Amino acid sequence: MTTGAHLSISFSGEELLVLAADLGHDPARTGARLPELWTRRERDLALEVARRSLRSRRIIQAGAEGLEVAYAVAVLMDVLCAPAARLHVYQGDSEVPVRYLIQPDAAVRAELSEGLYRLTPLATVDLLGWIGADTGLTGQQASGRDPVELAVEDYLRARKGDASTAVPPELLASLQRTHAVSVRRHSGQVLVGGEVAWADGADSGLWTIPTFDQPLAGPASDLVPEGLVRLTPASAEGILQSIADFLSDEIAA
Amino acid sequence: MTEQPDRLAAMREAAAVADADLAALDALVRRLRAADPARDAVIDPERSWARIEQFLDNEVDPR
Repeated sequence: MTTGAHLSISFSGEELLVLAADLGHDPARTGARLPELWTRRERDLALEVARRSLRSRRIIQAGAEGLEVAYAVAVLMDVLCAPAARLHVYQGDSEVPVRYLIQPDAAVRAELSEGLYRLTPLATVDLLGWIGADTGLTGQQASGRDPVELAVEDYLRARKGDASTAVPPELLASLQRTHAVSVRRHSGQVLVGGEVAWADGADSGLWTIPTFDQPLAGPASDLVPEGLVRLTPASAEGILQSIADFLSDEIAA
Repeated sequence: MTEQPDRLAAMREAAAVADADLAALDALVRRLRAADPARDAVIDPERSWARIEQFLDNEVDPR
């Protein structure tokens, strides 16, 4: 149940779907899906098995008014299915992010690992610390170097490790160690947020990089004219502040 | 040949046995949600099943 010093709990996708439905949420909000090749009968069976599993794990128990979901799990599902903001952390080119579902007081870290969804509750005020731990942002200072502009083609080849580009060697290595974070939240009826991506070179420091080719598929606003991309030296604090800026004042407080 | 749901679920169930300490998780969540501890978690089986049915209907039916 512990991940280091942190309490967490794992569910199969089927269990998440059942819990969401039991608690009045749209099951689709969990992010869980059933295998496409399963027949309808297999899907029904899997969900029934999941319900039995939740009973055997005592996550669903008989209460005074009928069957009840354990309080802690009900709260985790509430945050998971009805967050005020969503933050995704991508490691390298992985298209499966670590997800953070955020409400003003509590957040849930949801990680898909070996077919199970591991949910870890945390205080929202600690969120940036968790992002830093996930991505290795631990106080690095900006290198003081000037920004570097690269042709888009060179940049994309360098991201794939092609050493024949005009990219400086120390930057080439750092472009193999990238992280990206996207934030989405509603402000009234409008969906707002943003993305930040960076390369982490041990010797060359941190560099913010474009987000147009990241798994989160952000807008190409970081492309500069003449088909160039700009890499900018950055600090850990600056990157985390950029992430905080995407969150509302209430959540980032 | 598709995965066998019962076999898969059994494997997942076995993997989940290790995280059965709900009491500790409960205490943590109550600290995080101190300002709003109430949460109605009673299940309405009919409504729950209707939500599952709608979810399954909305997914692509493979057969």
